[in-house]
Amino acid sequence: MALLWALLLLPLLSAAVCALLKRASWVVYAHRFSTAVTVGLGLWIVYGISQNGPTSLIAGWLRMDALSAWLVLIITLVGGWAAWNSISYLNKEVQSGACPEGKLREYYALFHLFWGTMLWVAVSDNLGLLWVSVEATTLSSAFLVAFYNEKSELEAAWKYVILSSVGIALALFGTVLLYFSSLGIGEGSEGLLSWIQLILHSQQLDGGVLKLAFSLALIGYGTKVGLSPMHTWLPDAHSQAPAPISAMLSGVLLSCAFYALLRFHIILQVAGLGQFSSSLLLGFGLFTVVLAAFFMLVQQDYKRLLAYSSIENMGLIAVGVGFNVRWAVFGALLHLLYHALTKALMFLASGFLYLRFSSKRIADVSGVLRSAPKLGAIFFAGAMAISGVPPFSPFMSKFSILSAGFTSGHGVIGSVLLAGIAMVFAGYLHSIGGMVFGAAKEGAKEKGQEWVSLAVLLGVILLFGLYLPAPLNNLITRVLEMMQL
Amino acid sequence: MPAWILYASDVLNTLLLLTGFFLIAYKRLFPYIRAYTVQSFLLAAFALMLAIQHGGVHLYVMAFFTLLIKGLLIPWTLTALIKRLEVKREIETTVNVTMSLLSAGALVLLAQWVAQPLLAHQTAETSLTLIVSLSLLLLGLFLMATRRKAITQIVGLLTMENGLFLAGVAITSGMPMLVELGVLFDIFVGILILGVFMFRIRRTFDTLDVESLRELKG
Amino acid sequence: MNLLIDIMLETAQLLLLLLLAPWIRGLIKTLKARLQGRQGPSLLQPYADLIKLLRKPERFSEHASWIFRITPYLVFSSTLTVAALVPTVWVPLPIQFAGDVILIIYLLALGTFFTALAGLDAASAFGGLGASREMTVASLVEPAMMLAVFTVAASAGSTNLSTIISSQALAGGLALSPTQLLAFVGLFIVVLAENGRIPVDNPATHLELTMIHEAMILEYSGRSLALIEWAGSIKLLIFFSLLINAFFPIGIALDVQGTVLGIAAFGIKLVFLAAVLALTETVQAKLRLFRLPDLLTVAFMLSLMALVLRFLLGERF
Repeated sequence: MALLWALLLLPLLSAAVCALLKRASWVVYAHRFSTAVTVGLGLWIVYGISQNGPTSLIAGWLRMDALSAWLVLIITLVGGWAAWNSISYLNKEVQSGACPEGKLREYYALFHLFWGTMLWVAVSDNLGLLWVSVEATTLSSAFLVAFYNEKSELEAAWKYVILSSVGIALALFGTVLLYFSSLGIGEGSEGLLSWIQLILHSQQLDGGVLKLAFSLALIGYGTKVGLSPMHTWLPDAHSQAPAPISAMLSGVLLSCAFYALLRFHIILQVAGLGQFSSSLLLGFGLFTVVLAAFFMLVQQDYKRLLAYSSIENMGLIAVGVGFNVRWAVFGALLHLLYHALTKALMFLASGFLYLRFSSKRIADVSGVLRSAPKLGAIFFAGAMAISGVPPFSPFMSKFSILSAGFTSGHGVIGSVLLAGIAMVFAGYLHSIGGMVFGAAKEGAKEKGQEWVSLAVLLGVILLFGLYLPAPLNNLITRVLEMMQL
Repeated sequence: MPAWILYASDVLNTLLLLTGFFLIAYKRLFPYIRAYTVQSFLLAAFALMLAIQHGGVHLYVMAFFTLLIKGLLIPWTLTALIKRLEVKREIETTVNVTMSLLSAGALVLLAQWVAQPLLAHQTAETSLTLIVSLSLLLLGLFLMATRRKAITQIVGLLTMENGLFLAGVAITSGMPMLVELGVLFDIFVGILILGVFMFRIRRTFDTLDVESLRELKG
Repeated sequence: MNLLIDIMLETAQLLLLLLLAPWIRGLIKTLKARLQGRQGPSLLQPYADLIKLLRKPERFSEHASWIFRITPYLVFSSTLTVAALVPTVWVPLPIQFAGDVILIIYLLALGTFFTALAGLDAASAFGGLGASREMTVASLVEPAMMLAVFTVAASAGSTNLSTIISSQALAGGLALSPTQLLAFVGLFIVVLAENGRIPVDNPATHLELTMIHEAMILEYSGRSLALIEWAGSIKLLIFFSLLINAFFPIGIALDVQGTVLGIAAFGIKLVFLAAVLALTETVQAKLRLFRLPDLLTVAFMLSLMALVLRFLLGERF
C-alpha cells in the first residue's frame, strides 16, 4: 500500500526537486537516484500484483489490478531506460553546445512529471481521474516535444497539443456517457465512474449508450494512440522531440492511451457488447496498419520512419484485441510490452546516430557499421526485431496475433496484415540497411559506452523472445480472465 | 419541475445556441472572445439553475468555478495574449462567413440526429440541452478546422469543452465534483501552455497564422 | 349593429397607424439623440415635416415615366392596405379573412419593387445604385422573414395573421419557447433590413457610399416625397406591430371591452421596442456593404433553425 503511494508520488516530488536544484550536477544525481528508486518500486509492485492479485488504494479512485500492473511494467522498464540514456544523450548535447546547461533542470523536471502522470494513468480506477491523468500526460509532454524551440518542433508541439485536446475532449464525452449509462445504480441514484463498479454492474448498463460511449472513446483516446485517421500529429511530435522523449512517447504514452481504450473495451465485453467494440477496433486497426505501412515506404527522415512504425504497431495491437480470441489478445498484450521496449531501443539508438551525423535524413547517414560498429549492429538488430524477425520477442507477439486471426476465421484480414508486415519489413531493410551498411560517411569516432545500455536492452528483447517469466505470464492470464477469454 | 426552471432552461439554451452562431459570424477578434465570454457566463447560469433545482452543494461549487475560470480567467488570459502578441484583429477564415453559417445550421441538424439514441432516455427538459450541447461541440470543431488564427483555434477548443460541460450537466446533473474540477484545471493549464506556445511561435515564425505551420508533411 | 362596430374598429385601426407612424419615427430619432448626448428634435417634428412637404410643389425629371409618378401612390396605398390587416390593439380584425401573412409580405414587396423601379426610372446614377443594393438586400431578407413568420404560424396552425396572434394571445401571450425566441431574433434583424435602419442602412445619410433606401427616393419632392416618407413610417410601425404581437401579444384586446388595456399594452411595448431600436442604432456602426449578406445569412439561419427545430423537436418547442 505505502509502496504504491511512494511510486505515485515520487516522480512528482522528483520533478519539483529537479526544478529547484541549482547546480546541473546535483540535478543529474537526483535524477539518477529517483530513476533507480522508481524502477525498483515499480518492478517490486508489479511482482506483488502478479502474486497477490488486485489491490485497492482508495476505493473507487485508485486501484491496481493485473492490467494496471502490465502497464506499470511497461512504464517503469521503458521509462527507466529512457531516463538512464537521457543522461549520456544530454551530456553530449551540452558538450556540443546544442543544449545550455541551465536547460537541463527543465528537462529532468518535466521528464519526471511526465513519467509520474503516466503512472497515475495506470492506477486510476475512476474513469474521470483516468481522463484527467491522460490529459496531464499531454500537457506535461508538450514542452518536452518543443524542447529546443526550433520551428519544426513548435509546429509539431502545437499540432500535438491541439489534436490531442480535440481527441481527448471526445474521450471526455465518452466518459460522461458511460457515467450516464450507469445513472441510478450508484448510491443516492448517482452514476458510477469506478471501473470495477461498472464491471460489476455491467448487465444493468444501457446498451445503446454504451456503444455510443465506446465509439467516442475510440475516436478520442484513439487519437492519442495514433490510430488512423487521427494519427497526423504523431509523426511530427515523435520525430521532433529529443530522442529519449521520443522513446517515452512512442513506447509508453501510446501504451497508456491504448490502456485507457482497453478499459472501455473490457466494460463492453463484460456487458455482452464485445462484438461491437472489437469490430470497431479491428476496423480502425487494420486501416492504421495499411496506412502506416504505405507511409513508411516513402520516409526520408529516420525518426519519422520509426514514428510511422509505432503507428503501425499500435494498429496491429488494436487488430489483435479486435480479433477477440484468447491467443490474439495474448499476443496484443505481449506486443504492447515488446513494442515499447524495441521502439525505445530504436529511438535511443537513433538519438546517438543523430548526435554523430547531425542529420535526421536517411540519406545523410550511411556506413554506421564501419564508423560505429557496435551502435550499428544494435541498430540493425533492433530494426530486425521490430519487423518481427525471430528469435526476437516481437516475432512471438506478432505470430500469436496472426495465427489466432487466421484460425478464428479472419483469413482475409490476416492476409492483409501479413502483407502490411511484409511491406514494413522491406521498408526497414531498405532504409535501415542503407544506413548501416555501405561506405562510411562523415561521422564522429566511436567513443563512450553509450552502446552498453542499449545492448542490455537488446538482450532483454531477445530474452523475452525465448522465455516469458512466470510473473508476467501470471499477469497476462489474469487480464485474459478479466476479458472473459 | 417548477415552470420557471423549464422556461429558464429554454431561454439559456437558446442564448447558448445564439452565441455559437455569433462565434461563427464574427470576423473580428474582440467580439469573438466576447461571444465566448457570454457563453461561459450562460453556462455558469445554467449550472446555477441546476444547483437551485437539485440542491447539491457540488453544483453550486461547479457554477462558481465555471464562472471564475471560464467566464473570467480564460477570457482575461486570451485578451492579454492578444494585446501582448499584437495579433491582428481580423479573423481570416478558410470558408467564408455565409458558407460557415450554412454549415453551422447543418451541424445543428446533425447534432439533433446524433442525439437520438440518447434522447430516448431524456425527459422533455433535457433534450434541448443535449442538442444544444452537441451543437456547440460540433461548432467548436468546425471553428477549429476553418479558422486560421491560433487564438481562434483555442477558442474553438474551448467552445467544444463548453458543449461537453453542458452535455455533462444536462444528462447527469453533474459528475462527481473532483472530476469536474480536475477537468476545469486541465483546461486552464492547457490554455496557458498554448499561450506560451503562441509566444514562441510568434518569435520563430513571425506570424500566428496556423496555415504557415505546414513544414512537416508526409 | 355588428357591422357598424366592425367599420368603426377597422377605421380606428387605420387612423391609429396613419397618425401614430410619424410619431414613432420622431420618438426613435429623439431617443437616439438623447443617447448621443444631444437634445434632439421635438416629438412632433415629423408631422411638421410632412405638412411642409405636402404643401411644396413637385418637380419631375424629364426622363421619368408614369412609373415614377404613380409609385408614391402605389407604395402608400399598399402600405395602408397592410396596415389594415396587421393587428395592433385589437385582434381579430374585421377584415381578417384577407389577412394572410403571405399576402402581407408580398404587398410590402410590391412597394419595394416599385420603389426600385422608380429609382431606375429617374435616370440618375444614385437611383440605379440604390435600386441594385436594395434588391440584393431584399432577396436575402425575404426568405428569412418568411421562415421567421412561419415558425409562429406553425404553432398556430394557420398563416392568417389574426389567427396566429389570437391563438398566441390565448395561449398566454408570451413567446417563451426556444424556437420562437430564435425566430424573434431573426425577425428583428429582418426588421432592421427591411426598414433601412443601422446596421443595414443609414436613414439619415446622403453619402453615395452608404445610401440604399435614400438613394432610390432621392429624386422625389413635394407631395410624392411626403407620401413615400409617410409610407416608410407606417411600414416601420407595421413591422413593430408584427414583432410585438406575433411574439408577445399579451394584453391585446380580444374584443371591444379590452380596448383600454389593449391601447395601454400596445403603447408600452411600442415605446420599449423603439428604445431597443434606438439603442441598437446608437451602439452599432453601419456594416460595410460586403458584410450585409453575412448579417442577413445569420437572420436566415436563425429563422431556418427555428422552423426546422420546431418540426424536429415537436410541440413544446
